[in-house]
Amino acid sequence: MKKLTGILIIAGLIGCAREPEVADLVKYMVVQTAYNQEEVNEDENIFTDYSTFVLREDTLGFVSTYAGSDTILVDEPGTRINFVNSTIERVAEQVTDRGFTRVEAEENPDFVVKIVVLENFSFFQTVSYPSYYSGYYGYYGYYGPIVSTYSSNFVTMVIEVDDIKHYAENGNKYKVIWTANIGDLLTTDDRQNKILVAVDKAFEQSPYFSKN
Amino acid sequence: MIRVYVIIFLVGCSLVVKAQEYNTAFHLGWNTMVPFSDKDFTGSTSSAGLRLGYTKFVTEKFGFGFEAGYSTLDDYVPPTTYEYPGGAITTDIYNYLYYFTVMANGQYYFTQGGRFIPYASLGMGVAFSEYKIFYNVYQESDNNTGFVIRPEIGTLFRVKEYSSFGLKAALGFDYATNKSDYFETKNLAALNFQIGIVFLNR
Repeated sequence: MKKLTGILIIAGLIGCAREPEVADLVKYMVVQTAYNQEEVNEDENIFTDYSTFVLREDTLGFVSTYAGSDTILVDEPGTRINFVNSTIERVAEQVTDRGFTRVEAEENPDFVVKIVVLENFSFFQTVSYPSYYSGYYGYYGYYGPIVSTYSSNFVTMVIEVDDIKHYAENGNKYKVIWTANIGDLLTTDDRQNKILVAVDKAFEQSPYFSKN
Repeated sequence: MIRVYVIIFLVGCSLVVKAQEYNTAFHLGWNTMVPFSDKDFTGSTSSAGLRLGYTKFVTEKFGFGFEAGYSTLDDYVPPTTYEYPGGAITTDIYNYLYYFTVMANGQYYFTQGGRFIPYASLGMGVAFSEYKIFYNVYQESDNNTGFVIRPEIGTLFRVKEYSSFGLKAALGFDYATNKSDYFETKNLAALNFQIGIVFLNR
């Protein structure tokens, strides 16, 4: 009888200390967007001052806090890396739909849209973005670095808008205007489609991101 | 003279034992919680609960003991966009409240003679709670400790007339000072319904 009681207690404790199933947790991606309140507020919206943007084609940057893991992502059909082109195209489509024209880097764009996949960074609990970039870093070196925060074991896609038009006014720095963080890419299934849904949601919840 | 005292003491003890049918009881129960507070955080009734208790019968009418309990409340919030200064976040959220209590209690037994042994009790003690949210692979939590008071009514039921094995059913109400400033929850209040087994020892 004592054994039975012990078993009941242990089974009961295990049953009580439950958590949601991982499959349920990763059903939807988290989409967080943030805008620079100095440039987007009740009095002004810097997006109305922009006309053109640049967005790299075919590749995404991959930045990791694990040494030696940084790379460039290219679509590899049949593998887990199958979301590169579809994501770039969807982001370009969303920005264009908001009244901006995509140009080449040599055509003096007003802002850059950067898309980078970050591994082992954390965004959703503590968002601590620098307002300006001045250095060079990784894949998007020539337009400044992507954010850095304290680490945790997640894979997040970051879509970021940096100001180019007012580079000189900002003390020769690229000012961050808007960011979208989408995660987690590591655990989710149907990654390609869920990223597209998340990209749409990022723009939907940012109505100020518009030329008009 | 000493012999007389010993005899009187033994007779006295036997009278006490006779008067109170049992000396101790141990119970194990399955607990269901119905939250009355913070229904925005965890509003659903939860049957994920366990109670474990010990009682020492002092007289036929009175007993005291202690009890430990563990319950989990949870709720699901479908994908929603939350706006705040400087941005917004869209996610679905699983809210969890892990609630653990340790308390001392006193019981009043209306009768011990029959197979039904109804009682009323009042318990007081410490409650440990962890408010936790899960969204995708991310999670945040807030732990705190508070004071809890639990009035309860219930009954024990012996399966046979002289059996030491029985069943227990109880209805109680928890009010704990535990609350989370981080998740903006108030003091915890919940109705409890417990069914379980009890071992009565003579």
